[in-house]
Amino acid sequence: MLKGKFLPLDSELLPEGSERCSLSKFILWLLPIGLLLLWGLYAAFKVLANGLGVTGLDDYFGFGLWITFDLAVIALGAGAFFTGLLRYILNIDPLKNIINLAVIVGFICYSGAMLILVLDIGQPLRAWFGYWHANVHSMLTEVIFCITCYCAVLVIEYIPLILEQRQLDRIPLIRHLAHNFHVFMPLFAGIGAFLSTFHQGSLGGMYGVMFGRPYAFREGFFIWPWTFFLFVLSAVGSGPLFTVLIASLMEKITGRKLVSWEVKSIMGKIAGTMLSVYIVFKLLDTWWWMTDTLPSRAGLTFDQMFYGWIYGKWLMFLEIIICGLLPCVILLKKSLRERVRLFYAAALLDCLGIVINRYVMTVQTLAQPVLPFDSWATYVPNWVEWAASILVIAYGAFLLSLSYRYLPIFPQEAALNRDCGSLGLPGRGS
Amino acid sequence: MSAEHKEFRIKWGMVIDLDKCTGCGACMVACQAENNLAPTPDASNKKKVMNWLVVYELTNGKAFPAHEVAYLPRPCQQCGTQPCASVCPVVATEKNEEGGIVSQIYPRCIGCRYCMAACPYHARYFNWLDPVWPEGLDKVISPDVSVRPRGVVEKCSFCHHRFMKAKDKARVEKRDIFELEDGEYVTACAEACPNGAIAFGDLLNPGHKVSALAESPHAFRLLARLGTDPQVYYLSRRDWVRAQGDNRLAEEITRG
Amino acid sequence: MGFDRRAFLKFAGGAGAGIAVSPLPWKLLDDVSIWSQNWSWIPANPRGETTYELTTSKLCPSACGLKVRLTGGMPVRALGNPDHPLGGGLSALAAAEVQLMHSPARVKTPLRRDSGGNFIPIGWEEAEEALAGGLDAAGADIACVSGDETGSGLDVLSAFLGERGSDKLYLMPSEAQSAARAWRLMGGSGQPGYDLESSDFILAVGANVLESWGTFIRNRRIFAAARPHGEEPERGFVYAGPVQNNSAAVADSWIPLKPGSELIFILGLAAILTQRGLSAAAPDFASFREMLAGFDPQKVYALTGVSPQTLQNTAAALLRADRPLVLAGSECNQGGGAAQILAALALNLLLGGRCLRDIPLARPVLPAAEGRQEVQNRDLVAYMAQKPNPQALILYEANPVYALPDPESAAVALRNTPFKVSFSAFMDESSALCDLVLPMPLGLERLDDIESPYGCGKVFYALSRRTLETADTRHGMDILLRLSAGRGGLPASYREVLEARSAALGADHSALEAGEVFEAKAPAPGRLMLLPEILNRAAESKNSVISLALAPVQKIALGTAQTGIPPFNVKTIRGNELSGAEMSIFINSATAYSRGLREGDRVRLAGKHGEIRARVLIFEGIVPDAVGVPMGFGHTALDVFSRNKGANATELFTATPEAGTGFTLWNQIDVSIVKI
Repeated sequence: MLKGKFLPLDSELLPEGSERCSLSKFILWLLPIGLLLLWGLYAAFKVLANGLGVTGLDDYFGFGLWITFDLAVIALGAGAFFTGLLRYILNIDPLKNIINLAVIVGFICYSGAMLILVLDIGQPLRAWFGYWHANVHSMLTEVIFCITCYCAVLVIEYIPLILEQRQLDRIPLIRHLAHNFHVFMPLFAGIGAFLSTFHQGSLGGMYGVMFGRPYAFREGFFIWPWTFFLFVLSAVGSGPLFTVLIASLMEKITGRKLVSWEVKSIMGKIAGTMLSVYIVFKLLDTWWWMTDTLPSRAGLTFDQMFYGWIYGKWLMFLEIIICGLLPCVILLKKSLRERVRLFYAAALLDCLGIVINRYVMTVQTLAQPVLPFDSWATYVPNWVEWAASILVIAYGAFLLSLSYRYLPIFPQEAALNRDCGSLGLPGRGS
Repeated sequence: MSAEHKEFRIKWGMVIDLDKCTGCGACMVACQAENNLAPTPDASNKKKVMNWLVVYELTNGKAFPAHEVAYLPRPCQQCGTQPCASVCPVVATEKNEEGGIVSQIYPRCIGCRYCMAACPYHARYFNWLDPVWPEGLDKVISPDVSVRPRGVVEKCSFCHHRFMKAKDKARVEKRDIFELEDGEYVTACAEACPNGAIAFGDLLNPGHKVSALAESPHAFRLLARLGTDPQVYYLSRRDWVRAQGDNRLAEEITRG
Repeated sequence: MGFDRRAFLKFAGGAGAGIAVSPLPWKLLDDVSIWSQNWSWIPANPRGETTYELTTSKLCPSACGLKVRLTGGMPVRALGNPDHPLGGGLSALAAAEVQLMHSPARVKTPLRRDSGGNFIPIGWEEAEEALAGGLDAAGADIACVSGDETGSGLDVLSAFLGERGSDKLYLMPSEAQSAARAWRLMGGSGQPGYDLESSDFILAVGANVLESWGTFIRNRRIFAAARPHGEEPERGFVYAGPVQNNSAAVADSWIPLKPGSELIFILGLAAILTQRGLSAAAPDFASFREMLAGFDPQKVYALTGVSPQTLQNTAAALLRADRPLVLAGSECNQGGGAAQILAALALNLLLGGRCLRDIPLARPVLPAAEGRQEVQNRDLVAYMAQKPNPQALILYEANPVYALPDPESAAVALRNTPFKVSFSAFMDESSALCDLVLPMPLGLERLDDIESPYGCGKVFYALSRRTLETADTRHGMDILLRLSAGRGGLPASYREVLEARSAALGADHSALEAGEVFEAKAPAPGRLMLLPEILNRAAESKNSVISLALAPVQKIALGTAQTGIPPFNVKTIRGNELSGAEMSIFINSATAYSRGLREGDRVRLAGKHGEIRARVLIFEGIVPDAVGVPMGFGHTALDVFSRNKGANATELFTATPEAGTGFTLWNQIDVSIVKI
């Protein structure tokens, strides 16, 4: 803190060497987030009190917005495990400057997804049956195992960040504890990477194994349908960029530099590489599905997989070409990647493409009529589903705001803002 | 993690003659009353109406006067290779008992609906809300099937409780429970149909008429090429009706 | 040392740790699966011994046999009874019969209308007093409408009215009534009977034999027996009618007919058969043959839409058969008039008439009761057209305000009647307009009888029996008999009437009460007349040009006028038939194109008296220039399962006198369709 400047009321709690807005401004910022949270909690209460009949889900669309949302945030939250893997196992050192954020974003994504899952299953009191009566043949069992375990890993990775809080850090026991956590971090990063790879894959496997649903069904390798690998690749191809986008969004809101361009660029390059691997396989998979799996296994044609505008082929084109190939080109070519606007456009498209992928795999799979005498079904999520999804986003914003304000998560922050700080530029936002 | 094919010594199956079904709906009503499905004042949103058995209307798609219509009752197909049981994370649905009926264990179901997503027949239904029985109507719950709470998936059980009763009877009479007489155990829908459109029995027992009917040249199964191996067969002498049993490519249709 | 804070914390910690390592948490967790299943608001299964009782359905018009399953003495399921002569399986209505006993639409106590126009529940003493007072005040000016046409209740009603000096006993219009009247015009003694069992070829003209016509559950059992699974059918079945209905769906072929042209089609067939040399031993056969000369295939084509080739093929099929049977009727079992049934009976006689029977009408067992034929000969629709205003009106299981053509005028007639009482199990549209509503027990709750329902081939007699004691209902017949207090030789209870009926038929009453059925062979008809003049006059009136003809469609799943849609049957309504409160009417694509309509358009259909609103559904199984309208929707009373669903097709019906026979009919209805 600079002498002579106005200090927030909670200045003693703020990270050393950082500059934060006043407490009242911070509370004002939290207010709309809190309102969204309350709205979402109301929706969650409706679901738990009355049952899932209050949602727009139905017997054709047992999976809808929530599952799409879960799959999307889990894919985008993959930044945590992948960055952890790169930082702690492969020792790509500059990533230490973004790993904390990646962990928090990952934690938000995973805990948020679990929150939604609690609402989404009809008998939340029995949620633990996945362990108790596990069906080891089900991809979903593996998802339940890995997601819950990995969420625990993320908690373990998050704890040292909390322990480094300025006031807590003064207590010797906690300081030592935090240090020991750091020592073991490569171990947890390894466990996390293992768990994540499997559940990202199993999420894809969930769809690929549905041999009664030609839109989703894929052949594969051993017990794993191709979607297993595609989901892993698409997650690591987009997760790191989602972390970068969050970091940049925070910079936009706070008006402070948090992560250096160099780090962002490395993340972009890595994600772009993974994305390009993904897209190659995705194209191969689509081609094989179209020319072999669909006609031979289901007696259906590629054209029969699309219907009208809402389930049109444009979605597939948008997903694979505009949101797949295009960002690949931008992220892999250095001259393009270094142009800030193009870089962010590529990042946004990349993330959008993964969301579309998770959406069509969920909703279009179920909308497509398999019985020859059935017809396409349409699904419109209602306010309850939106509100609960927004609950998770608001919860994420809330957690991120608190973490940013009170925890030292950006190692570069002090250095990057030293100049503007001395010039007396205002530190806006949270 | 692929689905497992399961075979048993007895295999309960249905052979539904679509040339005899008028689509009157008696089977659906009998099914609801037998299995305690709560009534609903407005059933026009068919995607949210609980019906273990649904009668579909099939049309040959031609304009008047060449138009033809047929009705297709769709219970759970009790697949030999189940798209549903293989995906259930908590083993709440299984095909493990003699007879090959795909079970649904309501107290274990967590309501994740993965099985519904996996079933191409839409044979599975979710209790979106708690069932509501108008006052008085709750007195006519049948004694054999428990009423399901909200939040669990349910489906046609081939009136499994009737199988249990038939077995009990055979045990008391010191008969082989795997050699029930034809007609000793039938489902509520088969029993209700005045047109006798639904034949029910052991597909593997030559003494049961369904075993021969399943071999009929007019027999077909829904979406058989997906590899689900259903235990429900349909019969029709009409080509266009049989053609609607499965998805076929243009070149397969011209080949006939 | 006391129990200080530290000790408390120690204790709490120890207890917590102890519980945590005990099996308790795990046991509780595992129990979650049990108690998350058994919430207090989830109904529990009944307990008790399972028993079965055999009976015959009084509620389902098919009079099918029932095996009622009881648990601890409580009926829980209606099952079919294959050993019953009219049984086999269940109709969608009979399948719901047990559940209907607890339908929210039931009248639970006697109700009297107070001065403010609201119903107030009253006790039975007060109800019977009010009934006596209302009827006594009306003197001899009492009319009665009965919805029961097969029971001995008709005798009681007739004797009750007769004893008070009234003969205004009417039946709700039905095919049975038209057929019996046609039969007697021809010289038959009772009602026509059809020996479907022995027939090897059935041509149903307009009669929805597998859904709603006659003893349809028996019809369907016979159909099932003739069609072994997946094999070529042993007996032929052809359906002719305007709509590809449930019967047409499984017929060997569907012959599309313009609505109301059934008579012409039958005469066209008769013309071909007489040309082929077939004759009937009727005194007026010569003039019959002469009359048929006017119905050459070209003319038949113009009036019915049936090509000469199809007509010839159908005639040939009839000729090939050994025991063919032609059944004529109207889709909704009413309003088809007598001429087409007469023509079909004549056609059967040409074909040898081997499957026709003459079933005697129930003879009155009460001295004061008139014969069934007198009752059948009265025409309720014609009576209503006179805008009568009797001083008192008794509705006995009848719902004219819903079911009669032009229901609004029936409602007006009811409103103009000073005292009206409804004996009804359900709070239907007519009961809702009455001054006094007396809850009737349902078929499964009362002892009542069913004698030779229309369509059967033998003399048939069966009793419905009480499987459940329902506290607050009383059989209307017992009430009326008590009211008569023995005057006019009336017995004290309805049971005595039924016992007398059993005795008159030579049946064992106690066996009948135990669920057995009495059957006796009915004789072949004697020498019958063919009545060419009547047929010709009726046929000539069919020349009128109709721009868009109404083709009603009945589905028994939607219940009867009294029951409304049973709760369990709502799910049988297809998604394209009803959406929320809006029902669909259906036309084929050619009709739609010519009128500029598309699927999903909202339209107004207007008849002479009323109009309905609906959505257009394109269904190719209907003749051009005709609009299919489902029956059974548009209830405004009853319960949530019936109310607020579509519109009532009878709003569009216009009754006119049938040329030749003079009976009323409503099967050629011109409607207009306008997009809104």
